[in-house]
Amino acid sequence: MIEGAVDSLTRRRLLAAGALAAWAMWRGRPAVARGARVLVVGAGLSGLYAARLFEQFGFEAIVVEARERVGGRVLTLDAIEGRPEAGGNLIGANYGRLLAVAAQSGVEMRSADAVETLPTAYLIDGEPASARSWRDSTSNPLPDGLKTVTPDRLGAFLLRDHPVRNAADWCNGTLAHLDVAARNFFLGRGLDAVAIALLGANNGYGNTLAETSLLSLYRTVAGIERAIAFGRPTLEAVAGNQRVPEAMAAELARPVVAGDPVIVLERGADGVAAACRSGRRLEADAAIVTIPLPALRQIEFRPTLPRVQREAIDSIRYLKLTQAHLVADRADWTASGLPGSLWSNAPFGRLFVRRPPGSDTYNITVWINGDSCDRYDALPDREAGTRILEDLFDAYPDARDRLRLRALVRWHLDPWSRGSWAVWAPGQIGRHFAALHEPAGPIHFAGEHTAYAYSGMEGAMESAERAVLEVLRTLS
Amino acid sequence: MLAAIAFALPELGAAQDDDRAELSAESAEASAESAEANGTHLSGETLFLVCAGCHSLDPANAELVGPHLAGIVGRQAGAVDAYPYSEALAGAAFAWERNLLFSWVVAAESLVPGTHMLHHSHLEPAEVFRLIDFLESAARPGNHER
Repeated sequence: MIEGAVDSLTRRRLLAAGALAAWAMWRGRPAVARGARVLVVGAGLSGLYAARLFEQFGFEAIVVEARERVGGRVLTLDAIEGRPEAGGNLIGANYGRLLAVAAQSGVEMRSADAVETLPTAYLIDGEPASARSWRDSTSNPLPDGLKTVTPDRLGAFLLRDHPVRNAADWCNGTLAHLDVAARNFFLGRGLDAVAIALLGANNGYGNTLAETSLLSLYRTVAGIERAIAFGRPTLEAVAGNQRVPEAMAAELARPVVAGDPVIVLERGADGVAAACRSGRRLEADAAIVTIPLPALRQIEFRPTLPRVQREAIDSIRYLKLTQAHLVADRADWTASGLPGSLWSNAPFGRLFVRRPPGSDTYNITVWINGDSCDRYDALPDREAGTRILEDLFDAYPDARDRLRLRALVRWHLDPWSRGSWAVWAPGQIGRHFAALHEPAGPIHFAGEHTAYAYSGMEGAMESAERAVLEVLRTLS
Repeated sequence: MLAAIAFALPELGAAQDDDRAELSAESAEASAESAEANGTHLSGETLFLVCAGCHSLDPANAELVGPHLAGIVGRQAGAVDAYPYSEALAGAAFAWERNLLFSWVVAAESLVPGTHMLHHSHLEPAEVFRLIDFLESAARPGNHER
């Protein structure tokens, strides 16, 4: 895959010639340390952007990646018609760094609205509802005054008066008193245990609301609010979002070393040395470690990291996320009895149904978060996918034999991520956030879990910029 | 310098009681002298790293998410033609003097609540001033094409 990306580089460069010329206005003046070498662990957005910046400053960047592919948690399922995204799926119009790289590399973007996403209906305790009928549904457990708020909008509605004035307030200590269990906040807003269970059914920021920091939810709501306020449509790469990290990898002077996980990182007065599983040894003046914490936990640091940092790295959990990617053709979809996209408290969680422009097939992503994944985890992929479909067919019998399972993605079972993104339990932001990216001598840390102002894909890019700045200060 | 910031804030519609907006530019200028000792010796041009993801120095470059920064020092806020500013910045009645740029880089949303620029600064005060020096020098004809 990496070789393939290199092959397409020339064409993309020609397409992007205009963009590159513009970038040349400022390309990071060599910061005097020409010849310095930096090791970048991880070829996701964060690692690739760090390497790109280092090269602009005249450094040699060696990127080493455990997986056989680049992109990390950006993953486009190219083998499936409609190219559904299994990882980072939507690019905020305010994702400046990511969009700049895409433009410079000739990765074409389009509004996510260009792909029809079917409207969301509800299936709560087995009872179907539309946004309109939800208020009077017998399965609506919400108190008077909230009955018209649909389950998918309930969290954001209750959190709308958030106190995040600066995008990074969530992690800079000013709101530490809100780093508490989200469940208690919702109890205080009149929700009972049944309503809270409903709200938490598809929580993307912790396995339960009792285990989710209220502050992390405020951060999320504030981020979404700011993206909406930006007033431009959400974007996606026409040929798949994975084209962005692939383009970054292809444009590096040195090819990414893929399929070779770092197992030891040793630091000393002269820099850093990495030992990879293959026996490969890499030496550099400094390193940036960008990989998700569950992967980071698998690296042996010599000497060991400070206790506070070790504890932070060991404590942060990642969200369990299962996706079954289904496809139906138009006639089969119409006869399936499914109402459209779906938000449910059934085992299969949510369905996102999209129809790419000009296509006669529908892409259906079954999206299961948190502990709901447990039901399927003991099963191998094929059986787990079948079981998810059976659960779906129990609720929608007419869908049987009309939906084809094309892929099952379980991020929490992937050894190089063990989940979709970092989630913050009550108290963890204050206790652990800063320690996660405290440099250890010549070793620096980046990745979405260390981002301040943004989260997700742009958070990964932002974190790379911060870590590169740290290295420039020490090596220039 | 502090007085200038405090005077400007009401015009910006910012919360006057926000301590983070009222940054001590004076003490920051003083600390510039100890920059070498702090290891914060990077040039303003290098420090432009933290802007370059979203801003160009080329007025003709409209592909980045933020407005161009050519001639930003002293420029009227919210004044790049056709750039879709936030209401807060589009309606701002001030010019980007150095002390305001300092506050902006350090805490943009405190200075202009409702701005679309999401940025958390990791720069030392002396570095911010060096960055502003660079922005000022880059505005001289021909200087930005490096």
